[in-house]
Amino acid sequence: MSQPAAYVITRPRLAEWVGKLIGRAQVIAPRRAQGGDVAYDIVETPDQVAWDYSTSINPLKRFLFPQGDELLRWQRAGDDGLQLEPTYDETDRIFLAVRSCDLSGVLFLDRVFSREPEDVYYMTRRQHSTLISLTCSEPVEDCFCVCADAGPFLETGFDLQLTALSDDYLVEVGTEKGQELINQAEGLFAPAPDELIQARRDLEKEVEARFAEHKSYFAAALRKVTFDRVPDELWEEMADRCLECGGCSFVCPTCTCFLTADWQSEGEGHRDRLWDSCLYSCYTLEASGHNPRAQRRDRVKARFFHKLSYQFAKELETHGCVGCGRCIATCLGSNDMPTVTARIRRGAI
Amino acid sequence: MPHVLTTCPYCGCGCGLYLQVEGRRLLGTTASAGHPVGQGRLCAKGWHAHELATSGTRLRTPLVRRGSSLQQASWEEALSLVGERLTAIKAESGGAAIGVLASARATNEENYLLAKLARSALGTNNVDFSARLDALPGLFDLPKYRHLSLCTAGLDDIAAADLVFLWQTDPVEEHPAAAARVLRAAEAGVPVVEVTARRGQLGELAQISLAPRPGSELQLAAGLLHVALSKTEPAEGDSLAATVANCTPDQTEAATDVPASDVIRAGEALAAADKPLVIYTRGASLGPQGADTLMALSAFGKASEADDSWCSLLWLSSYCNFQGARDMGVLPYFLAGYQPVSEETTRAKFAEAWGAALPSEAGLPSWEMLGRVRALFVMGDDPVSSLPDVAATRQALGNTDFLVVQDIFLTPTAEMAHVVLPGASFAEKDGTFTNTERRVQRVRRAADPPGEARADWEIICDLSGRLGRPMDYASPAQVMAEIAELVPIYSEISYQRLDEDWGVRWSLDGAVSAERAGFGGEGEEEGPASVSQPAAPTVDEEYPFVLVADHSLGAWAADKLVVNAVGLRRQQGADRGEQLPELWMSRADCQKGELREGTRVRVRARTGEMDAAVHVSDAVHAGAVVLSAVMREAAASVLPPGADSETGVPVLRPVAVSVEKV
Amino acid sequence: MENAYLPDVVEIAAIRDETYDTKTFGLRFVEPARWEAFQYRPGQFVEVSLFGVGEAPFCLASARDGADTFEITVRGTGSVTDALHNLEVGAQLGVRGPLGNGFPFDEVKRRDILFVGGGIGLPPLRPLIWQVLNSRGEFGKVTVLYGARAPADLVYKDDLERWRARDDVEFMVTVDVGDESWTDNVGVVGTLFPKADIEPQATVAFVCGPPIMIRFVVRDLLSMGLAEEDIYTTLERHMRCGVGKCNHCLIGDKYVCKDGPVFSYRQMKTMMDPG
Repeated sequence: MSQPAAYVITRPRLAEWVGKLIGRAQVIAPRRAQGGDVAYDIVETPDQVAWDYSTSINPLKRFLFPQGDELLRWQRAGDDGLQLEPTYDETDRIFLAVRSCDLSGVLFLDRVFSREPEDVYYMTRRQHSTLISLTCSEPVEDCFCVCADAGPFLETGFDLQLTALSDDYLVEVGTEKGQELINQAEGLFAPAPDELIQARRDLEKEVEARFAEHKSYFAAALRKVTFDRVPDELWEEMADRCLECGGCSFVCPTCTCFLTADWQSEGEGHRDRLWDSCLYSCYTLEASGHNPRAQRRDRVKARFFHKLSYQFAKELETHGCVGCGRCIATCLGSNDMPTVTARIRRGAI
Repeated sequence: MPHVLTTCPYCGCGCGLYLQVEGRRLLGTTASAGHPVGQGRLCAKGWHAHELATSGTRLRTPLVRRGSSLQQASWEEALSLVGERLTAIKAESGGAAIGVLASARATNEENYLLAKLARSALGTNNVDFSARLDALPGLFDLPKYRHLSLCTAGLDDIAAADLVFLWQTDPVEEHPAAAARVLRAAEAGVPVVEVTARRGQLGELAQISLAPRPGSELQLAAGLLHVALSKTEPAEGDSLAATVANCTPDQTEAATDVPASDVIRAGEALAAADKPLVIYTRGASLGPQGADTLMALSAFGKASEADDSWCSLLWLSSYCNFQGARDMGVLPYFLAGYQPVSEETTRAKFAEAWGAALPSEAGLPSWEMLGRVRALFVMGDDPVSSLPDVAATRQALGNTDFLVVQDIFLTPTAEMAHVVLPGASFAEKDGTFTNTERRVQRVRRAADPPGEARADWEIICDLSGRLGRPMDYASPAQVMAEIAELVPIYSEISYQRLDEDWGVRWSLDGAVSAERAGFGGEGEEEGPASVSQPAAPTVDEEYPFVLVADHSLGAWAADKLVVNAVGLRRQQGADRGEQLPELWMSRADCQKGELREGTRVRVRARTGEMDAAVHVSDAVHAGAVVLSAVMREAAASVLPPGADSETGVPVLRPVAVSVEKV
Repeated sequence: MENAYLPDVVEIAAIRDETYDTKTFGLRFVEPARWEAFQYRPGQFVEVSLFGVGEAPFCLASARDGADTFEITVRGTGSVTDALHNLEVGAQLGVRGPLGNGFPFDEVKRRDILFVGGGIGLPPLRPLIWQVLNSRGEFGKVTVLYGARAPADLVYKDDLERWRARDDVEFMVTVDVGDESWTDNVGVVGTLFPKADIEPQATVAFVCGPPIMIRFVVRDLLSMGLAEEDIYTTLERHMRCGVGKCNHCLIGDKYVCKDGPVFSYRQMKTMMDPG
């Protein structure tokens, strides 16, 4: 790109710009819901964006790979037989002010769903998506993105990356799609002066130092899981602490297990795709009644093998965790990622 | 707002969740991070809550019986038929010939309105809900149990407790929000004492596991009281100490098979505890001697070091609005707020507000109502699935002249109805649920009901008009305003106040005293009056095992709100069609009988026999065999439904059986 | 983008009763062009849709020959299979596939071939058996051993007779429990090994059947001296999406639906999975 890769926008102009984006596409941004929890959600006006949020209760996959999603419809029309019609979602979506960990989660899903054969439902939504991230300056109690190489600042993967710097936002361009958005917003952005770019670099260093206390011991866990060096008794003890809610799968930005379900009435129907969780006891139950992973211990082991083994890390370019910390908040038991990696490292509960 | 905050429609914990909406379509469910019950967590049911609303099996139009089949009908046809038939039956046989079952799963506003319709328009106090058996049954008939009739402790007391008893309950199966708290307490070193015939998952973390012979739980509770009380100086005229004076550890071992050393260990832990907490559910109350067992448990606080401000009993309901249904007067003896129908001043107050004279005779409880009323109106209740004696329930419903069922699915009860009215799910209407710890919380409309289905409160209002008592409410908020006027315990509740916070717990002290709420005074007796002989069946060579109906086990897999939520149905393994009932049996007994996983066995009792498939379990103690209580229909011949001798309430007693390979 | 989840519509062209609980369905693509594209090899499978009920995986049970149909053999054990059994000729279904890797063929030419099928494990082997027999000259000795619980459980009775009639195939059948008219072998399929003339180093074995049968047969073959990489089997797992996305069939890092369902015993041994 020949144009400068960084811009500056003032706060008042930022709101104006968000207003323009809302006119152009569905804008999904952090928003305070009833009760005060912040969720990535559709915003209708710029003031609904919770710029000061720390973390959202939901990952972005809810919009790209929804919990319940229609795949196809059918009709049985007399002599014409069965007519099938796939259901694609081609809504233009701009994801605004998403945290670096969540954006990294989307990049992970990109790799999962673009493997042959491509998942056309995800890819269609993704092609109609623009990702505008917001760097983090304060770690949240539960998060550990530095260990997962997924924040607090990103080098690539975003279309635009915003950093709050005193009165202004620095805007880094990651893709041509991002540059397009800048170009379309005449007069709102100015090329970023060098001091501002330097200020962002200084901030990143300062912030990373603060994030460094938030740990998950991946290295030891990866090695031990890969080579099956975790004793069964330890899996067993972790299994005692799994209440099979599936919450970890559902809040995880990188989990993608699903099943399908059909509905039909009077000659027409549809097939939905629903999230599933590999920790559910009937996840591997076969029609014959045979269940290869009937033991909870084996399901816990399978989950963390998928998340942590080199075999998968090699294929998906990283282990299956972006350090968002949502599993810490949502696990009914105590099998969140940092606790599990720490247990595996120590070899004991 | 595309993320709609609402309350989970499954168990009585009442976790907060958001329904994710796009347009009017429900896309999913997210846990609320700030919610005081869920605290950012949900169980599998909660995570799938939207599925019950989006289910393709929802009722979409009214149905009217024509000949032997239910056929689609218009609202006008269905409701005018209901209006005409109920009016006619009332005219012929009086209001007492009509029964009304409301629901532990409908909102407070709907329960209030249906109770109002029953009393003001139909003129009957036959108002109840069959799921009431979830709690100590009959407790309103007998004043001495009344103080046990609601949960005085709260879920957060689990974190504050220094000793936790899991009394015949498996919170992992039944109340995961409570289980999460128990698990954290156990990990923090709080001793957990599990009392059960089938060790639950938390049993792995429990410090003491007690396995009384099924049917001897009262004797175990008395034994623990004996040990604990022997550590303290008996107070003057202490009737409790006298009651349990003979329940020594050795006597207790003889009565319960629990080793005396374990009785002493657990009893001493109780004596030393500052904040002991007993968590119990229907497993305890529906057992034999359930009422006396609960009386004994209610004395645990007194036997410990706890001071008077500490409530040591945490009862957990299995239904999202069990508490609210009772609060709203869905009871044969009370108007809303536990105000007795027998009191003239109370009746006068309601009569004035409702503009109708009210019947003064107490009505019949659900288990007596069936078969004795000519017409039955059922909203969201399912007696076929709730009452212990399935065959008798079906027979009684079959003999009912006119059965109306208002529900979101075609339940086994609805299949027998003359008219079926399609209601709205929790996701499609406004209202409130009151959780097991008396927290009144909002239920918010996030989507439209499917097809022609309507919110239950709208259906009731429509019907009331057809019965000559027009109800004119613009919204459930208005209904709540009326409730706040008439019901002291809800006097501080308004939608505005509920919106400002995560709901409001109605208070047992403060503005509304326990006495005013009808829970104090004469019901303050502590402990059972006496400790009778165990109700445990006698085993012998012919019938060497004790068969127990386990109310925790598999209860959700059979629930209509699970079966109709597709992802949840798969999660619960309820997808595999007809299966033989599973008989949980200890590994030792299986080895002895050369039984393997899935082996088909014949279970014989003195009263009959049934076939089952063996599940080899490390959680069941030798000598006991366990069957899910939801299998009671298949098991009716070996587990004959009986009635509690004191309360007359139906219960399932443990029985001696033999188990042989087929 | 090709939609990997969108089925093609097929019609039931023929239904044949195999046993009291098993039927074979001949299926024909409604769009001839899609049939052209439907080139498969033995050992691959399809996801069959009964719209309104769901999807289930079935191995391709017939070799692709001159006909315009292909076959699946279905035992009624679940919601989809039970619903399939209630359908009649002319009913329309959905099919996604071919999916999975399939058996090696060119790689095993000139070797002795041993087929071991147990019960409903014969269908995946059937197209391979015919493919081998149709190129009979390119293989060494060919042996087909088939076992079932009882005479009533034997499938493909026509095929069995044709294999029995050939003198270039050693064919044996056994049942666990015979009946009054049964005069052939009785015992598990492993009891046929001593009766067959197997030269371990020269032989490649294809074993399909219930998991327990596979376990015992593999043990026997290894003790006879077959190499681990010369024993092939198909793994049964809960394959749902069929294209390596939904994760239900994962064993360690292998997707049974995509990396399998055919694996050599050597591969299977290295696949880490509990259960």
